[in-house]
Amino acid sequence: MRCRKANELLVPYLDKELSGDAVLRLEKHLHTCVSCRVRLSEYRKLDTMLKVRETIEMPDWMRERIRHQIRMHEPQRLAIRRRWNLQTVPITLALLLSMYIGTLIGIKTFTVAATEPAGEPEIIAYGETTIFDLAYMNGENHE
Amino acid sequence: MRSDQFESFLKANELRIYHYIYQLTGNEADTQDLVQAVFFAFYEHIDRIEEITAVSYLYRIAHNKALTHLKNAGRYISTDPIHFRSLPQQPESSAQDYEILRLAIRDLPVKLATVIHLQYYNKMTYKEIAEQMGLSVKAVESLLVRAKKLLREKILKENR
Repeated sequence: MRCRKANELLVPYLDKELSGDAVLRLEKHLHTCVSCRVRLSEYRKLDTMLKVRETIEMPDWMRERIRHQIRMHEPQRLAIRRRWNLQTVPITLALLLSMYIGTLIGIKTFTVAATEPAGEPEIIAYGETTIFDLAYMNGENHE
Repeated sequence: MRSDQFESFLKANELRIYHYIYQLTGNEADTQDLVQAVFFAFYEHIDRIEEITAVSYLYRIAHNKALTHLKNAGRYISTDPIHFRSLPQQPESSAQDYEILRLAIRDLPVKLATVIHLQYYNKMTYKEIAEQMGLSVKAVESLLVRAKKLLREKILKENR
């Protein structure tokens, strides 16, 4: 096992979350690698510090205060929710209507463009083709 | 999440959130105000919160509110005098080490700080943390490895 892999396993090893096979391989590596052993001892110290739990307790009156605050706010929250629900109906209708109108305009525009009869040839470029088109428009026949 | 589930959710999470915010602020009076604000903010959006990610969401609110409060108060480093007295005596680590650790936890991204808190405050296994946060066990392991690597580096750097 390489040190890089071993470093990834040190935390789950200390947390006793490593499988038996991985534990054996890691311990074999630790036996021969001083730097990984040092790192393990640093993680162990961190673990000890994190395990120290501050003796702080939440006062009982706080629970009641939170519940009271929620109870007081409930009608307002429901009113906001109702208002929001009522607002969604016209917003949805407006969106659907605008999509419908947009589609209609789109269909109309593109249909007209596609079915427009081919009249006089369009001049789309300069050069030989342009000369040919001008001649064509003047009724000259080059054939 | 339904609003009628709030009561049981509050019971299950009030102590750990209280402890988490206290750990970030180090001040009991601020913690009391913030805990109320956190649960209030949670309840306001309860209809839009998925049950599986509710704990993560609650921790995120707590983390953001605590840091915003500290920033606005202009006292990013502030602790009650009682804070260090509440710690049991540890021969290996000084009070300064604990303060470094506390500040390092405060600087962690919220997800990393959450897994650390769930593991040490609630003494949860990786599987239990995964269930609480709606993550896979492998993802929890990866978060804990990252979190402890950052904490270890910070403590080493400060002690140099």
